[in-house]
Amino acid sequence: MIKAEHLRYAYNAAETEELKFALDDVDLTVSEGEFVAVLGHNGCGKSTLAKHFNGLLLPSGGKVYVSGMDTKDDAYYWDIRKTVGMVFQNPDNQLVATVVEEDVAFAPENLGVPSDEIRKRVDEALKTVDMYEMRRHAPHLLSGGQKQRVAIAGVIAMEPKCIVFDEPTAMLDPKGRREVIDTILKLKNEKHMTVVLITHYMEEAVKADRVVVMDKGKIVIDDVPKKVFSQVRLLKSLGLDVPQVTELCYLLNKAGLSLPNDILTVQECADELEKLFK
Amino acid sequence: MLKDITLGQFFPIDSPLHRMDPRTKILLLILHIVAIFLANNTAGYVLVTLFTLMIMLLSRVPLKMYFRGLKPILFVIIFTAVLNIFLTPGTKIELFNYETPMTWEGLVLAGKMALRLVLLIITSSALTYTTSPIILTDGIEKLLSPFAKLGLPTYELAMMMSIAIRFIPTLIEETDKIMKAQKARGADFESGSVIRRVKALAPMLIPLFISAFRRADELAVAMESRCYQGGSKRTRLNEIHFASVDYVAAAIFLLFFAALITLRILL
Amino acid sequence: MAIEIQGLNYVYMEGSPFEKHALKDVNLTIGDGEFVGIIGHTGSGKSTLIQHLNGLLQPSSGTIKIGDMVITEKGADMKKLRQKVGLVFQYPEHQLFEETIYKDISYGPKNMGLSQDEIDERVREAMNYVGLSEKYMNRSPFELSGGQKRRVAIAGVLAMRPDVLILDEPAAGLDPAGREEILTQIRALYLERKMTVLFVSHSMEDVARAAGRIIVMNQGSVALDGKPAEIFSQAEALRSMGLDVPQITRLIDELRRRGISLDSSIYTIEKAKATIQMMLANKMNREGKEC
Repeated sequence: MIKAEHLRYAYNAAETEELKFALDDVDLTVSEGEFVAVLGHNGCGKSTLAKHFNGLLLPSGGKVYVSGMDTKDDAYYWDIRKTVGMVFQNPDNQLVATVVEEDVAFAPENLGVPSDEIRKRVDEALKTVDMYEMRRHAPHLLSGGQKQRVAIAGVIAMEPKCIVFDEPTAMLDPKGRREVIDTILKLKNEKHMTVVLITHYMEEAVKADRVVVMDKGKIVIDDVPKKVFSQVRLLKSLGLDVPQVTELCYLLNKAGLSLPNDILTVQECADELEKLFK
Repeated sequence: MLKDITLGQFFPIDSPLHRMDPRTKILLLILHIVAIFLANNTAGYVLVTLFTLMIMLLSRVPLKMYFRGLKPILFVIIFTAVLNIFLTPGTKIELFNYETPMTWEGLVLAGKMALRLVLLIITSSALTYTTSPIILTDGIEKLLSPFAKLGLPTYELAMMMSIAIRFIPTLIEETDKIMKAQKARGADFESGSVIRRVKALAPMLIPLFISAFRRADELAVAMESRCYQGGSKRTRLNEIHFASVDYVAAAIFLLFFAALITLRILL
Repeated sequence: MAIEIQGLNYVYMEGSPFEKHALKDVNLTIGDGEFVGIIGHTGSGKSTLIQHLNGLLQPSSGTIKIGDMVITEKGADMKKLRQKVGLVFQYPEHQLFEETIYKDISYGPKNMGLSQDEIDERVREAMNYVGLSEKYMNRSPFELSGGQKRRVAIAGVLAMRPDVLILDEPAAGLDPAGREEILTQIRALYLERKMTVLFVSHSMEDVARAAGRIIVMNQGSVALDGKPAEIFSQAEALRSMGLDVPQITRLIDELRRRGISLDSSIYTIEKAKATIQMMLANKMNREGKEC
């Protein structure tokens, strides 16, 4: 679906004028239907990486392919944007219309889809994100989580194969965050969409099929969540958190117990501790 | 004060006015404004007022909203009325045997002007209350389309307008937030000389502009990600088209207009 | 400086179709030198409450007393109040406007009408508190990273030397390392300056780590008020208000449900670790004796 090969991205740091690499030799493949989370602290290059996936940024070195299309090839300019949709951090700054359903219609309108087909797509997209009842509302009166779901509907209506979420929950409260994550999981499980989630919340990354950890423009870890989060010390040194129960087990093990080191959820942790106490 | 600005707010309900084509509504609004200024006798004024009242009722928008929309321009209405009352030459009004600088002619003129202004605002509000900004810009764009051949970027103008409308509430909210934050740091926007007050605005305007530019930047990226390519290839969720309601409205309006002109000529 | 709130009500846009009763009969006493965390979901009234504390909003009814000043009285000196009560808004970095960091931080002290020497001293002190090196003083705040900008903005409030410091979501949008850093700094500042600190957040973990007392707001009223351990032992009530509890609290809950008797007030990893170790050691002892 998406393939980055030896991807480098250089930019001119102000004043000093020396070239800096926001991305340094990144190799990454995202397969169709996969849910990949990209984790890293602010400034590690994860958002720069995301913007390469639909051609908003072009590599300074290496290649990025979207469904086999080279993002540098101008002939595929709009096809690439149509294939990979993007949801951004600030829900306010991605809504263009003053009525929910008109905003969702924006992308298909741009693509010249006939009116009745747009209506079908808009209704379905709004039902998917559970905002159909509010289709006639003005976006500025919605909560953060609702706005972000409208933004997601706007991307779904474009019918992309893959959606890249660039820190979609960073500005939301816990309730909004849950709504958005539930919507993302629904897209993956029911609509079988490919999902790339850029985040610094480990609770969200835990739900992915695969977690990619970035630091200083490079990929440091690329594995299933259980394997990634068992590396408590490495993650902490990268400025990242691990789930509290994972850390608890890690600390208990250091104190001489022998619990499995790939515990991620409360249930798993409770199961293991129960065994010890019985 | 900022919250009182209702012009440009859309009321998403259903009414005959909501169902009309935006082009019909815009053209009829222009004609109605002409009508308001054509009326020159009592019968004419009564007719225009009644017709405006009918528009208000047909829109099914709560009447309260129309009056709230008048609040911000109340000052202008009173100001022009006072000017008219005092500055129009004519018979002086006598109060308790004292001659005041006010004139009867001025009073009548002030009443007429105030009525005209009020009717003007109400009918314009009726358009924005019953037409979503996107449909409205759509209508303007279609009406201007003959000029597109002359090189006028009608589509881009319409898009700019609708985005501006979309961000008005967002920016009002943001202004409020920044003002409060600077007040918490001891800023004073309310007292002092004019120059001081203008200077005091800098801590508010600079962050507001920075944020507006950041928003514009992010919005542009988001729009590109959703395949916005400008131009005329776009289709619409709700294609606008004339329906029977438009023909009925136009017919009723023409009758009203004819009656008004007859009154003007006869009386 | 102590805060006393009595019968506070606030109705938003009274008499309009958007009318909303944002605060309902709030009564609170916050002692001098307390570190209080205020939690609640969006719209619970927590932001409305703190805006009352430095006079940015006037209550529909009720009184607020800060120190010996009744701020809800007509003619209360707002300028004086705002020097006593410093309020740091959410995403404060969005309010920076001056060309240098020095000028931006000195905006508050300047508005207070202080002498140049005094302003200078306060700016340096404030930069020191938030861990900004003085060599940044003449740089533009807009060249800094997001986290650094936020520290400049917080310094701008600290330079007014408030007795009460209120922070609205100081860690919002930061990554775990940035969050940790800012919370540690606030905690250190609290210990050093002996201020009363109110800290609004929707993150239970952050509040649990920093505050000595937690106030939970729900639908415009104070729903819960107590020590962190007392608050977190009411996981069910918290969840019904749309709030998350720390994962450790959920774990303890789950273990208690399975019949393992643990203290329900445990909410930190360290405490959980120590308790579990102790219980296992006791169990070994018992089993040893039985053999």
